[in-house]
Amino acid sequence: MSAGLTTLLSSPDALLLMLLAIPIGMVFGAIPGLGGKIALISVMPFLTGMDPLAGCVFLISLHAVVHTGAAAPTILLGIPGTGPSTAVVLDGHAMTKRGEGTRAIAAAAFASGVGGVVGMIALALIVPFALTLMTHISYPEIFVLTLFGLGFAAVLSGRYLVKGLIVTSLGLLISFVGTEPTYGVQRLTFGSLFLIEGVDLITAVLAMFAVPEMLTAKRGQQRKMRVLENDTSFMTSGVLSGLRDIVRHRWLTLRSSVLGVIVGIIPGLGGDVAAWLCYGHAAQTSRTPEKFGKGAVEGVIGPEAANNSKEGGALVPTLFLGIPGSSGMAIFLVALVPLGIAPGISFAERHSDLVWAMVWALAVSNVIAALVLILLARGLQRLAQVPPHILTPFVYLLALASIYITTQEWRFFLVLGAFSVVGYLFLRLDWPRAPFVIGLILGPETEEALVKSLSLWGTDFLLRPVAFGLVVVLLVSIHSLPRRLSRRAAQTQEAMQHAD
Amino acid sequence: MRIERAVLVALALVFALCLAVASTYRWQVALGPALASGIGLTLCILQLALTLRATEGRSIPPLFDYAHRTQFLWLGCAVGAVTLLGFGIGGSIYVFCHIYFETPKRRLVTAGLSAAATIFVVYGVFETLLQTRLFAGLLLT
Repeated sequence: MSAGLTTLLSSPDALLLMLLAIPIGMVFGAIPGLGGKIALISVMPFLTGMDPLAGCVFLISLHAVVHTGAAAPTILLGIPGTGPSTAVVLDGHAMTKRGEGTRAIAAAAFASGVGGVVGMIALALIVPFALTLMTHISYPEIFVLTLFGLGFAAVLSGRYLVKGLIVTSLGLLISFVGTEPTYGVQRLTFGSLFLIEGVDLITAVLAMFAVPEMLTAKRGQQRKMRVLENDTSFMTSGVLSGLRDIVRHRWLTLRSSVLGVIVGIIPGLGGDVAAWLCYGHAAQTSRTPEKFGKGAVEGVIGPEAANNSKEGGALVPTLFLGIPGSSGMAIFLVALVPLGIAPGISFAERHSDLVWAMVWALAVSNVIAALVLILLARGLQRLAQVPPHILTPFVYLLALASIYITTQEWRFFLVLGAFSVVGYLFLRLDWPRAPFVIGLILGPETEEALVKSLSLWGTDFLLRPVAFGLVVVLLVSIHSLPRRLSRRAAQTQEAMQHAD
Repeated sequence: MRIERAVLVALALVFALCLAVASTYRWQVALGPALASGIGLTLCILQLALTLRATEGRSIPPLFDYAHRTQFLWLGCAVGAVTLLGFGIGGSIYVFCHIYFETPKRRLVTAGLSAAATIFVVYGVFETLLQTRLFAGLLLT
């Protein structure tokens, strides 16, 4: 591992390219719709003939910091920069509306930096066991893990458990629209060709969160925020509050980072799953779960830490087995081709210094990106101070641009309009909206794992040792859930009575 | 309460329709949608029963009041302008109109500068710098 650091530090080209990759990656993350995959594709033409170490460091740094850059539009405008950022939008943007945008950005930046470093340490500790772990994880275990994720929907539903589960079912159902991946059958498309690819996640999240918030934005709200944020001491305390939040929730940061690494290692579960699992975990372990969705800082810290740490985990199957853990890592593998690198076990054995240099670059670039975001927090916060009647048209256009870049299909503008009505109704009727996205993200993974488990193992698939252990843990947590929820509901009721 | 019931009935109908459609697929393809829509339908009926039993309704703020209807109209304008005329032309016209008519004092300069900024971002940043071509509009393609 230390050889990797020496290798990285002894290459000025690699260090220079790492510093160059950080702002590029952050910009690609900050522009909604672009993200890490497009960033990697965009730089591929420049990689031919590049030194392998410098090229690898450039690519990994570029891909690693995308989520850190994405925090800015997600928190300030309510438009998720990347898929995994969707988990931050609810609480991050609520904090901005409350006049705590700087605090939210600082917390996101610190969590990203810590997530990157903890992810690297966890990776170093896990790598010797990672390949063994991977042999024990198959479809049954992935299915149970996704059930854990779906279970978080109940926690996030708060007092409205049944409504939350209805919304989760709706999210799951929407996730099944499109071509079924194994048999190629078109499902629930009702003859619409543009729905063959399914409903785009970014479109759904924008319609559920960003657009309803803009539709209901009050004119006085931004004025109040402006007064708060122009106060210099408030600005300073915003960054310090973010730092204090990380210290206060250090165990959450640590747990989310480790969870992120583990999810990253498991092929097929992408960054979206990691972020939402950690969001649900943050809500489940919080002392004030009723604040989730209304500006809980833990709802920013959990997913942000996981977003960055899972990149380290995703390197395990990618570099050690040549199996991309996510679509981003698949493009990363392709981008390594011009550098003459073919990942696999033999590559990892022969070039362990290069592998560890990449892991170090991942951690260092995360820390630098976090510092850059903290430095920019004050300037970026001004975006949120723009009055709603000027900000709203730009948010709508940015949302539409992000949809078009992601899908290349104008009909999704109409889907945005239709889903916005649903999002608006849920917002006004006080129905939980986060479970919808959890269902949407976990639906395909849950279904694929369930169908393949049933096909390969029959109904005994849950009796595999690891799957069985996970089911026991799941049943125990479900058993204690109603008691915890009712206790929390009672606490909330008591707090409301005190407030009255 | 009536609107909440209407939403529940609408969702129940969607779930029922999808359950009926899913039943025509082979089991591997139908399993996911059937489970989701079956559970959703059951929960909708349960929630509807709970809502009907509730003697007192929660106080729900009026839906689709004037301010929100106006905002929906602007959202429709944004979608319509971009769909028909694209991001460059449609987007800038929409931004100009939205800011001009929504600003209390109808500031022409602010609206004009915002529209110019939109054109710059669409053509300068996206198309030239990022080499990302945005939608040009149904009427202009």
